[in-house]
Amino acid sequence: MPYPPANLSIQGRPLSRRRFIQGAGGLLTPVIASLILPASAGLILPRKSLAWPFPGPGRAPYFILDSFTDSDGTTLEAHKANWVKMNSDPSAEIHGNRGRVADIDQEPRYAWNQSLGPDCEVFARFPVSGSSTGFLNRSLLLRYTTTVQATADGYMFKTFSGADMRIRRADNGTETTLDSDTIAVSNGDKLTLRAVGSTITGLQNGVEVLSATDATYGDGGFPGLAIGGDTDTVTMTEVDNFGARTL
Amino acid sequence: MIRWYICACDVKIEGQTPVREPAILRHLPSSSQGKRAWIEILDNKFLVKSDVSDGRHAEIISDPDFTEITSSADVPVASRSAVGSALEALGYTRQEIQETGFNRDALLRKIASVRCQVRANATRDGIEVVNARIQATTPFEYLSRKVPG
Repeated sequence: MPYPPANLSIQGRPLSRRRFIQGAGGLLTPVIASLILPASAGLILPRKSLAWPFPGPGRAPYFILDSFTDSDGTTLEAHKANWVKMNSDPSAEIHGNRGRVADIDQEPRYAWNQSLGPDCEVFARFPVSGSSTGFLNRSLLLRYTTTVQATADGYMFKTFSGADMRIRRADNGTETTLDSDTIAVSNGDKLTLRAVGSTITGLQNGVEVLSATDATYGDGGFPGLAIGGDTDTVTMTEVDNFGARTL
Repeated sequence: MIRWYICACDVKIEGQTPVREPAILRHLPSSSQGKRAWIEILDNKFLVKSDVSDGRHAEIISDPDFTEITSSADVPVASRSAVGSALEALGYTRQEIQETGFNRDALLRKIASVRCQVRANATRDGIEVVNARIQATTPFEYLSRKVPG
């Protein structure tokens, strides 16, 4: 087959090689890349859900995808070497092909050690999150400058049990809330953190819910996630279908 | 009604992370209670623009961690000395303040043009100021985008 096929066009114009590749990106890129890249590159083919979020034609492919498919009890850092735990809290583990933290009163935070950006986004689906008055929470990270929480700079979209959401900036281990609201997060919600220029946006199931403007950290950096459990709860927090890409 | 405040910073500890939040979230945790947006300024404080009812405003202004900036176009003459002293205490110079002519918008832009830089302290149970004055990283216009009017 010609590459791209000679008879394909968009609005009367021949399809360029670049557009052909991008157009196929939503479906073919993970397949092609999985043949080229080793598994340690972190690119996992979709195996579990038809809802796995692929970008559409003409959109940049996801460079990082993890569906957390592995044996129960495997720590995230053992599951993929790209996951680097940023603090000394107990590790999140895989159960039922999801990342999980349960009843530990801690919040393991992970960076994926491939730099993205500066314009980039990170997303994940959070299938289960228990109710608690503690700090049971789900977080997404972008533009992180290091993989050490105590010294890291970057941006975070953090949601708490109940109905609290925050966009925060991390500065050398401290965090500052840039935007906040009380919006409920339901089990199964897909949360996205996007950074374009100095605009930092938090989305819930594709709908913008928080936004802030901040130019402190405009370079690319690591994406990541954190899930926190609390001893007050009898259930756990889980994460599934993590993805990130440069825009 | 649109109101402008300078408010304190609340520091919470989450795990081993000190977290800074503007004190306006004590009174307006939800935007459904009144739109609000904030910018970091000097002395670990926040400049807040909000659109709140008179009742909510009365509650906010009774909080000693809040100082209201006038809603008039200019700071009233009788208040200028007190406003100037309060801003000097935060780290703004008398010359910077006087350059605004006490025009409210000019004063607000001046306040929002700089902020301090912080980090966690050594014991990670609080924060410390690393740099008392750096250039603002959020434009003043951000406040009007979030809270029109």
